[in-house]
Amino acid sequence: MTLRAAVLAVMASACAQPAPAPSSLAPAALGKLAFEDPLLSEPAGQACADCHAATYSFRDPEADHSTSMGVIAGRFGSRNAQSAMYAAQVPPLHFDPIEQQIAGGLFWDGRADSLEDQAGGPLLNALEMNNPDRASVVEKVRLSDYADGFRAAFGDDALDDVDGAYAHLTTALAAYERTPAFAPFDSKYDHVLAGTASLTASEKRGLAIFEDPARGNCASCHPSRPGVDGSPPMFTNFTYANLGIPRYANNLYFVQPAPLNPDGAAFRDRGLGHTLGDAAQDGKFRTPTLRNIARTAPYGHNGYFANLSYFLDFLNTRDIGSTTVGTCSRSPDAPAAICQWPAPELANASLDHRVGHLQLSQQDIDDLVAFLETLTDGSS
Amino acid sequence: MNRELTMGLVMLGAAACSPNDSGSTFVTCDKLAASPALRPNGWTGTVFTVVMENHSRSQILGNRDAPFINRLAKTGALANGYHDPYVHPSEANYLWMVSGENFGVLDDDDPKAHHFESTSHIADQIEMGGLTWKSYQESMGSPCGLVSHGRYAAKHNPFIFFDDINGWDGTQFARSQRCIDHVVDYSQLDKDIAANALPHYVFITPNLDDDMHDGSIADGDAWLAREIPKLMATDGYQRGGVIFLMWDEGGGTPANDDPPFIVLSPNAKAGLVSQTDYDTSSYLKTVEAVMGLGSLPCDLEKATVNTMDELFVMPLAPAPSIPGTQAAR
Repeated sequence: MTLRAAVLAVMASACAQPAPAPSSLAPAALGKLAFEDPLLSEPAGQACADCHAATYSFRDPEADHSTSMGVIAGRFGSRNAQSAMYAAQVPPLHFDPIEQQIAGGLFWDGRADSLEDQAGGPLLNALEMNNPDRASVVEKVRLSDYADGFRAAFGDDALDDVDGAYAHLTTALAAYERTPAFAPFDSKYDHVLAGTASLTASEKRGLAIFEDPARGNCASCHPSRPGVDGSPPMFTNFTYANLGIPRYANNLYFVQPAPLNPDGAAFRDRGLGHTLGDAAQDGKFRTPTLRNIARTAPYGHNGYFANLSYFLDFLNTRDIGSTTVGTCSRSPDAPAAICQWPAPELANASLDHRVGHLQLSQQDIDDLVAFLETLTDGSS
Repeated sequence: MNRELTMGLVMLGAAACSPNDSGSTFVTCDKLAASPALRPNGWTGTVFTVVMENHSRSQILGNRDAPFINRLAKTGALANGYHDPYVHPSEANYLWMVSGENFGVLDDDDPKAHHFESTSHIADQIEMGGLTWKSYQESMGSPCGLVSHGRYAAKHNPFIFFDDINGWDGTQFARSQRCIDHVVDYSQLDKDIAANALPHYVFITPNLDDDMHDGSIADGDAWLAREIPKLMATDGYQRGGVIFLMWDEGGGTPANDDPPFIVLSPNAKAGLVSQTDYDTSSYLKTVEAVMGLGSLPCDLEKATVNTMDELFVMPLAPAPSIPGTQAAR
């Protein structure tokens, strides 16, 4: 056996057999088995966990492309896969009377109202796990080592009816996503709030900028203080914003053939506007939690920003330009000049003007990054 | 099956089941031993590596947006059988370029997330051989950038993942003088060329726009059209040097298409188009051969891959051993 063959053989065996499941598993434990099962895709080879890996804050470890590749090699979606952490804390899509804005809903565009709804999506998306229909997914579950676990948890006939079985599967996946593994609230900042850790000088400066309405004002959309009931801050108010993120020309979704991408290179992501059928909401995407943000590159709905400081520089200088803008032409011998950022993917009335000219210094941005790094679970 | 190989395969069992990471390895092995460089005849110059990003041969070769690259492809030697080491994303490929393995890394995280005690990498090997090296990183700014920022991506700078370079003291990165001296901003290259102070080994990473990661093919081509001639004009190139112009991995789509790999050198077979099956281990072994170095102890495929001899008119075999031979300097 050649080395390559040996490697592939080990890969195959590792992927082919999820751990056997006792018949008495709770839905969350069944959900974990399903979440990590690469046999649930069509063809076999991609689990939910491949784009939401537990050891990588439940995000896609392959962050080199702006979006994630599906089980079919070469197929990429239009959006940067979000971390599944703290997804259970996202409320259904609703109008927030306090914020006077649309809020909530899962996926970047809020189209799923519950974890169950969300979990059922990627399994059937041709750009992701590529099952043609629910029946093919359910058949895979029936053949799995944990099928009896579903029957024990949901009844002997749990897998008999396709729609019922699919609902049990998404219930189990959602139950897993509601476990503390996805929401440990164990960052250094949580420990600071609990009085068991302290911020460094740079982190303190970053927090001050983060909360200052006259400077970063980040906390207006990413609340950083515990709720009145003592609940830990979620670092999102779940509302929507069009930050003016540029079109990412190297997004491989643009080269997907129809019908995967009927619009080709002309595709523009309407976000919430598409969900609501309201052009006034075009270009808006849900404000993500900043918990674990330092571990979830790239940034933006289309993954335009490769690292955190670059994204912050954009938010700081979107309207005035920056020396770090890479896409402008410049002479190699000339000193770094201010260049304008590329136009927003969707430039319209929804563009958010709370960011774009924050007048932060490089030191301010470095301090903000230092503070944001304290939001990584397990960082204390 | 030896211990090293077993370790690698055990790691694979725990790895994600993505179809394109089958080459992932994490090998433990003996420490690198000092060995004077014994360069082959005709290879006294600088070994340049310029790494571009995320495009397949079919996207670059023959593309009107890449006129300069296509001219290079005709004047240099083209390795059309080249493929990456079947690891992804970028960082794993860059680690492989300098060490022959990816240490189990299948992500793009900065050194803060993972860094390695291993001394089995080409920088140590070069220094132990009595030669010199530098990594020139565009848009990095201050030397030894351990954190990605702006258009600089630490994931494309493999040397900073090794503790004997990044200055890891067991608790934190104490940016070492070695790192400051060797991992420098790209702007230093012009100064080193002007001072005739190029090292024997030069690793060049354009920024995220110029390397085609975020910028267009035309952007990358324009950057290369500006920069490659500078390298070709150096003594280090003209006197037995070589430029490896490579892409870390293919474009992701169409699937299974491999990246371009172009060799420029006074010693290259101009216009040769090779179809031989080469990979990143072949590249590393070729770099080592040109520099008169042995194989890295942890290079998993050191015994199974070949150097890219057919691309060159000058043989890559080590010069005959002569007692008292000093390392090339």
